[in-house]
Amino acid sequence: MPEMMAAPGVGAMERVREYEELKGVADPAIVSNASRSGLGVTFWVCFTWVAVMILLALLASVLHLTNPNFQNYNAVNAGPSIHHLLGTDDLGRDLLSRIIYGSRVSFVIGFASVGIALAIGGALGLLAGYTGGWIDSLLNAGSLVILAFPALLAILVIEAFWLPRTLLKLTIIFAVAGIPSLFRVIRATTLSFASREFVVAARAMGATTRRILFKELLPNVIPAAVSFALIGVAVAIILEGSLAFLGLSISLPTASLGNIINEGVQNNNLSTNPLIALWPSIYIFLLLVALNLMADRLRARFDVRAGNL
Amino acid sequence: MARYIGGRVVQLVIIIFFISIVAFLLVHLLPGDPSTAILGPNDTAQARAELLRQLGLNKSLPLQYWTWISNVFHGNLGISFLTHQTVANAIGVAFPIDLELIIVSQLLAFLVAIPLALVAALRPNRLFDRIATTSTYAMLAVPTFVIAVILVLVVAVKIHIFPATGFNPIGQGLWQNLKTVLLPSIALAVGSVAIYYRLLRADLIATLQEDFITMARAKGLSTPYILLRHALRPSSFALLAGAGLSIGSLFTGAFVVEILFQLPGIGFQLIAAINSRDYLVVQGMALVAAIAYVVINFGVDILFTFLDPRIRRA
Amino acid sequence: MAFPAYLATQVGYIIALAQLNNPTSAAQTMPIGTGPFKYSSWEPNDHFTVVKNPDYWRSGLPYLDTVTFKPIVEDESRENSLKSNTIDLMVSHDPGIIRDLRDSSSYQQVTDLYSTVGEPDMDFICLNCETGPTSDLTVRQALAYATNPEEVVKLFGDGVLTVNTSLYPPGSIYRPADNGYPKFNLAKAKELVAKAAPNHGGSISIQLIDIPDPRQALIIQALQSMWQAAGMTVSLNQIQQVTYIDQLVGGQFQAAADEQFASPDPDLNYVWLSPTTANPPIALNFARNKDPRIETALQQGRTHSDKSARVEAYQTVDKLLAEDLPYLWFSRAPWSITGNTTVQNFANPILPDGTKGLGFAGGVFSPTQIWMKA
Repeated sequence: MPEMMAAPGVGAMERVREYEELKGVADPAIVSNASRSGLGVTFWVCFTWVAVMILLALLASVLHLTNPNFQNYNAVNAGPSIHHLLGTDDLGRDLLSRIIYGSRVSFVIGFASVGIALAIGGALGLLAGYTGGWIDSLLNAGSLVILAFPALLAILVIEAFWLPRTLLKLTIIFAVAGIPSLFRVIRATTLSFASREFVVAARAMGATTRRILFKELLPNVIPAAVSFALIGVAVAIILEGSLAFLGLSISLPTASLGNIINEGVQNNNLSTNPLIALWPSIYIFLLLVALNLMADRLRARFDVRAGNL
Repeated sequence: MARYIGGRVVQLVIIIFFISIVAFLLVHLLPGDPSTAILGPNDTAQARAELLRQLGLNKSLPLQYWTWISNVFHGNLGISFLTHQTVANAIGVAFPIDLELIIVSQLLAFLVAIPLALVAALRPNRLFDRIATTSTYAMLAVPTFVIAVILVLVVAVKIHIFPATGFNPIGQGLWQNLKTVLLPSIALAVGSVAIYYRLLRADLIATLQEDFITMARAKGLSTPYILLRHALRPSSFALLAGAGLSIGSLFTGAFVVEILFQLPGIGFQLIAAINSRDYLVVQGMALVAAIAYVVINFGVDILFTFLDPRIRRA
Repeated sequence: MAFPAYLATQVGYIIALAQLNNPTSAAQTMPIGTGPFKYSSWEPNDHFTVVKNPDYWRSGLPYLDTVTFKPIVEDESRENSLKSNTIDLMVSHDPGIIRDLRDSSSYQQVTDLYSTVGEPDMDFICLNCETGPTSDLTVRQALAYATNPEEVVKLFGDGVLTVNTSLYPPGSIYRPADNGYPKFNLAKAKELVAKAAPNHGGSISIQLIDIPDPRQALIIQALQSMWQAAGMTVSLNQIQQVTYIDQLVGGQFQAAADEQFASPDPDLNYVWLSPTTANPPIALNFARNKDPRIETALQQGRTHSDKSARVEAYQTVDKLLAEDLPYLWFSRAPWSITGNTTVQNFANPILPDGTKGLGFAGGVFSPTQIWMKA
């Protein structure tokens, strides 16, 4: 994932925490209460929150929500009421419905692109980390070159020309951008396990490479993979929002969190109806904090290290 | 050490070579060519063929790449077909804006992070420390565009202190200039504040437990004096390292901020060029931005290798 | 009749020999002309500065020593720059901003909403009469009946715009009493869709293109909603201006949100309306409406010098457009210039000799007669 764009801070937390551990300084934050044995309350609160949001997005069509694209010209820029719990936008569309349907876009882009990136990048990382040699050198150098190129730039150029913008195309572009980062995470984690006793022992007992990769290494790599995948999902959601500001997110009138915020800051809406931008901003904020905290707890629990990436 | 740096330089050159190929292919493999935009209503088959010949777009891709890259080596990045300005000149105008954004945002980040860390480190794990440290999680998670929306809503729309978007060059006076740069810089600084605060806090807490601080306390020196004169300096290496290492990412972070706040820096100009298919500008700016990014990261990396040889092993 | 107006367009410009001899590089960035101001400096995307031309042919003019033009893309940014005194004058096309600045006593404003030189720009949807579903007149009629201009103006006119379903604004001598343009009628639209659908594979699907502008984005979403209510499938595509113009000129579009037709004399719209300019590869008659009756009327307007024959000709053009429906009208597209109170003599300008200065047309004004209050 192009971590360096959008939010300079995303992904930086693990390095800070490693430094704190090096210095023997505790993190006193009220949210950082994971122990070596459990994931802590914070994780489960965040998990529940994200799960509820995903459930809402999944069940959007059976929830009897207003059609997110239905324009009621008699209720333009209406405040929150019993008919429109979060109010309406400047075309009289129900904001609650738009946000829930819009979150679908974020979740699909986030989870699908990271899933694809993890499947491809992860498989290559596992292979490179375990076998080493020229495959490793080649893949590693390739990932460095791609990471050196500002991903945002490539995404902008491709998006500007590859029309029309659909959910599928956005997912593919984001997935490709995420492959090198996830490759490096999985490769580094695999490397740290490849020389451990249980792998060496398995090899001595004549286990096939395939068996070692899938039975011995994969289960140990999964916590790191999940933790960084969560960060990846957060980055993809941020990326969708940033692109929406350039009119480069999914085509209108489809609601996405980024599209709604973008609409909310345009046409003087911040003065006339700040709720349009405010609700999805709050939604994104809570979602991202939850995803980041979950990733953070996972890393602390399974002692995932980012130092060698 | 020399061998290590030599190896890294070779690596850097290879990466830059690939970057130039990517920058070139990005523009050339995509559908549509600039001739339509240049010709406008004069678009006939003959005029188009003539123009493609003039621009060298009728040659093979490797040959086009060679022409372009050898011009780049002579300092000639080409000319914008839209403004007839040299690409190098356009970059020269846009780049200082990125630089100003980064400098102002980092000054702001230090201005906030250092006092916060000093207060928090004095009484670790107490209320202030807990609140400040907890909020860093939020600061690192919230995307720039959400910060931008909130800033514009509160500061520009409700109170009318700063303009919401746009840029005044420094030629119009320092205050006029800062008025347009401050909000974007704050948006860019939020993530840095969280990182700097936590790095400095960790170092300060460790330093404050050392003997020379206990000694200073025994001498009856005041707490603020000890913090500022004795503890701060030996505790600031990680802070400076963190600042150095984040220059590269700030450079692309500035990109997003420029677009949100309509500041005509590299990021903003690139979007304009992409939209008008001003392909030599896209190519040139992409090349320069990507090279600047890797070279800055490389420079900072080497600098810290000298300062702290332990990093080399990582 | 329109000859003087044509002289003031590109045709009539006097070009410097130095520029003709050297059509590349420097000449294109350092223009030479005969106007009141001389080129001083240009920083693309930042500013363009001109200084007073001491040899200008009208003595005493211009009053200003320098004028700096700054491109500020977004209307809101421009408004903020005006409010923070970063700029003195701004042009705006946004009815909401025109209204806000008009209602404030700190600013003075000139718009072409109420009066203008010649005919103003119109906001409309351009339909491709040559290819695609919109080449079917029944489909165009269905679209016209499905579109509710009152609703569009209510939603996006900010209380400033009024409905105008004609090529000409109210009060224009060329505007017929009733041009016969279809009135909003959803039932009739549905009926027409049902009638036309079998000829288009059972359903009518239309793509509406526009440039990526925030206000336009809302308008096309509202139109999509209206047309879908009549039973058509509508997709939206926001494309960059360069590509957008390519598609208009090249005819690779079905429906396009457009604004056009400001002109000091109706004959200047000949190139946009005539069937003679509707042919590939480059058609300036974007809609490609090839009604020979329109050509006849346009020729009548062009070749006659007496007022009544011209009025009749151009009224006929408007009636034929309402019949052929290459354009779905909503309202006029307003232009405005707003300045702070130090800028003098830009609204209803008076020249030194007491005569009236150049007015405001199609968003264009002349800085020649402006001065600043100390």
